[in-house]
Amino acid sequence: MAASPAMVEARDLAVTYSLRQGDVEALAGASFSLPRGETCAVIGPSGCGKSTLLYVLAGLLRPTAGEALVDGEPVRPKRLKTAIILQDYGLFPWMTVERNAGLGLRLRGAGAAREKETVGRILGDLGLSEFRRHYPAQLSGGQRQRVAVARALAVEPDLLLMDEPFSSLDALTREGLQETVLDIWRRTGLTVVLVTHGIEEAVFMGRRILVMSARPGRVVHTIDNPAAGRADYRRDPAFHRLCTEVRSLLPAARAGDETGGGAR
Amino acid sequence: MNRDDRRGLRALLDYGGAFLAVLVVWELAALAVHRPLLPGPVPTLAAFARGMFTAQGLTDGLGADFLVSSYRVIVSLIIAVVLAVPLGLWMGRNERLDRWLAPVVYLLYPVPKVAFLPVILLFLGVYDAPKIFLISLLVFFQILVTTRDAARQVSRQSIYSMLSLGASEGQIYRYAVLPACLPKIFTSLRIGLGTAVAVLFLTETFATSLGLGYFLVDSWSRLAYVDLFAGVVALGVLGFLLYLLVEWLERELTPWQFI
Ligand SMILES: Nc1ncnc2c1ncn2[C@@H]1O[C@H](COP(=O)(O)OP(=O)(O)OP(=O)(O)O)[C@@H](O)[C@H]1O
Ligand SMILES: [Mg+2]
Repeated sequence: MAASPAMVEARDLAVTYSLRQGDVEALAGASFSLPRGETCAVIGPSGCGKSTLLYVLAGLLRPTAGEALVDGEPVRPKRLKTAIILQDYGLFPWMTVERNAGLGLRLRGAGAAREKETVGRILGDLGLSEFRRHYPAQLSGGQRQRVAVARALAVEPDLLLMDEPFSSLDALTREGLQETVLDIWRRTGLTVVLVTHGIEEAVFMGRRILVMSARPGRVVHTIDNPAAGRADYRRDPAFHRLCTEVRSLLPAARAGDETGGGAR
Repeated sequence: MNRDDRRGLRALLDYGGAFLAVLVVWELAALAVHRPLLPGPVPTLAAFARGMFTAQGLTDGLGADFLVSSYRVIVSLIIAVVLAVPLGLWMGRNERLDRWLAPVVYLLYPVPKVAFLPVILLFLGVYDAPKIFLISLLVFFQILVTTRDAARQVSRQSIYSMLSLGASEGQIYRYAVLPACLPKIFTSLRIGLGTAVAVLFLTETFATSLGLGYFLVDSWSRLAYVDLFAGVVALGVLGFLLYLLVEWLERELTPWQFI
């Protein structure tokens, strides 16, 4: 094989949810591609299909039309080197931190010794060692998020999909965790797709930024942002210029899809 | 003293207080009625102790009946759980299966199964089998419906999490669906326990000469009111011990609920 294929390739993805109340078109004609070892931020109005897009890339949801390739092959749910961190972290309240973090290894039958060693190391890296025996309910939001990161990393993925992982955290915790993820990315060279609704987060983390349209979502702008991933990027005037540009490119959310707001 | 010890002591004091309050009300009521129909706690508990803690009582007195009844209730509950939980989880996760089975369940659930006792007796004889069958049947439906509803509510996110980590269908049940449903299963088990003891009494009032139900009916027909009340105490103690057992199991199996 001459050139290695793109790590992620989406071709004209469409997803329509069939509900009793009628069909909801979540994605329509979403296309993009991402080289191996890159980070990519996906930003778009609420309800435009960002989570849906990640589900498709993770093989959890079959697209209604189009196709998604990961590492040159059509996605399948059991691709073991794809890890996803869901919007609500997806931790299990009945497992302690170490059981949650080791779940992927356990499901693969990795063996207790290997699980203990890997989980111990990763929890140590993420500053969670002393919370090993705690349950998620006993942790702060930032700690829970780190457990979710630990669980994703424990299976040594080459593709990490994250769905608004830091959105419910305070600014300082969020910036700390962004650093942590970038650190891991620099060390391991994995490919990262990060869904976010934070413009600054997208610009800081995404070496490629995909701006999506309102629902049904497609990729309407692709911005190259090679400076992302530098620790001091936030203080660079270019950073702020790009934030302003992304803001002007973002379409308004479609009425009725806005979540969380106090408007109603 | 750690937190759990303190909690244990608190529980002991609470239970002791409640027990004492029941005794006081009982004594006052007995004094007010002042008839052999309602013996006070002292003679009753003496008869209870004689029946439960002497060799004679244990071989063919109250103790023997207590053991037989405990055996029947516990076996019935185990059978009900073992059958209802897997089926409930499966129905909750499998819409096709649920569409077929739900109508059958709803048709059978409200039917008073006690009406089948004569035919059950005819086919299963007069020993433990018909009682265990009837109690299991009643509790089975209670646990089945609760478990099915709990399994339905397991979030799509949990399932996605499991799938993305490469879980098989069996692993999804084991690591995600079952634990998510356990708290509700325990609640239904506690409700089922009450049902079980109540139905036990009924099944033991005819076609048998063993068990607390028989003991009560027999004491009554002999006008032995102290024995009658000792039997009632034994029935209460049986329910209470089972309740403690379920409570303990719940703490062991769902520790995350108690943090
Ligand atoms: N399971 C589902 N069944 C039916 N419709 C769904 C389902 N999940 C999402 N949708 C619909 O699809 C559209 C896209 O949803 P999605 O969750 O992908 O949006 P999102 O971009 O992640 O939004 P947010 O930023 O609020 O998380 C929404 O309009 C939503 O109502
Ligand atoms: Mg989303």
